[in-house]
Amino acid sequence: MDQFSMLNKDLSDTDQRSAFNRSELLRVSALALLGIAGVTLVIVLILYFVIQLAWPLLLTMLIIILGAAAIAGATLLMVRTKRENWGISLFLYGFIALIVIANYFLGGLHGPIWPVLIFPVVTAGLLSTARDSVRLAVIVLLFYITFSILELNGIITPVFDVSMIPNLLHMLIFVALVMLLAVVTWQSSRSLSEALARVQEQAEALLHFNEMMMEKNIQQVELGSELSVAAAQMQLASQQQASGATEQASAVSEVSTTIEELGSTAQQIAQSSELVADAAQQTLMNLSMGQDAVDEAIRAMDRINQRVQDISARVLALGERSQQIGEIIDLIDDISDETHLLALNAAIEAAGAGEHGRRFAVVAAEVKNLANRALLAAREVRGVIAEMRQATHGAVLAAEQGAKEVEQGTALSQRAGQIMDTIVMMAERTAQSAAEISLATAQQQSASEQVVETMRDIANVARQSAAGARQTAESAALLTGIASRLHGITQSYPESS
Amino acid sequence: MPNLVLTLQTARHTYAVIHRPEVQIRFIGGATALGTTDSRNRPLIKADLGTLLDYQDISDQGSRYAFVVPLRRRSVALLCDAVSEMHTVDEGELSPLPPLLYHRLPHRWVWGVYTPSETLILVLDLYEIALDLIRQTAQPHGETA
Repeated sequence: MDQFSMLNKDLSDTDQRSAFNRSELLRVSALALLGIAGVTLVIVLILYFVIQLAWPLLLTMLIIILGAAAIAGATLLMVRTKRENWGISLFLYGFIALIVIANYFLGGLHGPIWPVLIFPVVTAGLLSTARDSVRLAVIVLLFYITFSILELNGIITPVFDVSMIPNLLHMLIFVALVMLLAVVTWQSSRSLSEALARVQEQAEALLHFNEMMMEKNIQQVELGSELSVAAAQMQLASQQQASGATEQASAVSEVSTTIEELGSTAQQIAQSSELVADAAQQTLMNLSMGQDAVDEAIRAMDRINQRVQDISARVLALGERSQQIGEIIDLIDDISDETHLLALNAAIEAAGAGEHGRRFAVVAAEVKNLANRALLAAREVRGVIAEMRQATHGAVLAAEQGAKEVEQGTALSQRAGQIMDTIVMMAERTAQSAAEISLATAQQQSASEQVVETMRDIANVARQSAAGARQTAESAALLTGIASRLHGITQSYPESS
Repeated sequence: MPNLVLTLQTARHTYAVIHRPEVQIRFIGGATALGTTDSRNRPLIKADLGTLLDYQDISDQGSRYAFVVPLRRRSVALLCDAVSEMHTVDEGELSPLPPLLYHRLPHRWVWGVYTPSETLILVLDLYEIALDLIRQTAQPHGETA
């Protein structure tokens, strides 16, 4: 709740309190009238028994007292029902009517009641407004004049002559009215004091509100300055935003163009991937033929391996036979050596026999020559066999090497077959990947078209944003002007006040 | 009187010996083995003649010839690769070692030289070699006297 609302609430509370005080004054006055009526009734009854008051006078007094009590009760009822204006009118005019009636009964123009007609006028001044007091004064004057004319002309006469009314009763009526006037005056004075206090409070509240308004004005000056700076910054930011939005729209257009090119490229990729898929399929067919050739090569290598193994076995068998020949040659060699030794011993014996052993020596020499020739032949055969064994050994080694190479060739063929299988699998994957690439590029093309549409929307939004930013800049400029004006107004306020 | 000279081959050299009837020449190889005793059932000691004269003269032949030298209580077989020739030579073709050199040799294994057709061939004394082998066998540490 701001200070101004609080001040309004205080003033409204003051009005409500004023209405409450008038109602309270009326209620106290009615109660006073009722109490005074009761006291008067008691005193009248006492007078009736003490001074033997005449019963018609007693009856008249009782009627008057009951009338006063009725007026008080009706006024309290009005106060209770929040109809203070009605209650005041009823109290004042009923009070006058009661006094007029009592005056008619109790002595007329010369009776003790007439002077008290002044009391309702005073009461009206205390309870209500000055206008009511004047109006009541006029009514009282009209009643007095009317009664005077009627009584002086003998049209009406009082019920009880003045001589018939005891002085104590005069005194009692007068005191009762004075008491009533005193109570009303006291209550009115109290209400007036409260009203003065409330006015003082209102004055202080108004002064406080005035100071608060001064502070608000100072804050408005400061806020006006800040608002001016903020508006300038906002204007600059809006201009930058408008520029950025324009650049964004341009960039979005470029991106749209790029994405359209990307979509076109994706279409080309899709076509290329279809070509790749066809090529992969053709490669698969060729690889199948190549695989058959590799299988045939593996089988041929197996056959070659078997043949080489056969050759190796036969060469080994030949080597064994040459070994046997070598053993035979060794035997021949031994025989030749022994023959040579025999021939040598025979020659020795022939030499020991002298001339008799000459012929025997010739035979021994021939045997020895034969043995040497056999030995030389055996050695030649041994050399040939050694060469043959060496050749056989080389053939065996070559066959073993050939078998190893055939095995390596077989392993390579099998490896080639495995590689061919791998290549087939890779070709199948390639074909599958090419198909997936084709599908993905088609999806990419569709997505690119959607992105192009979206980028167009974004470009439109960016243009709208740029227009909005320009409007914001204009608004900021207007706000700057307003802030300047506000600053000027608030700066001139203290001088005018 | 002419002498019978036999030429023999080791792996690296050619030597000559003067033939003596009590020295047998035997062939060793194939099914023919030398055995551990001689013809009179006496112990037979075997030695390679090539390595006795030249420690690098090592034979690799399977068949060998043996000169079996009979001594008083045993025999010694001296092995060689071949006994190639028998020559009947006069005294002039055999030259014994000079006495000064011969008597100063600690082992008198060489009797002299044989010079057929200007070739110098050492003539070995197989008995001396056999006796030294017997002595060497008798000594525990194998040092030749």
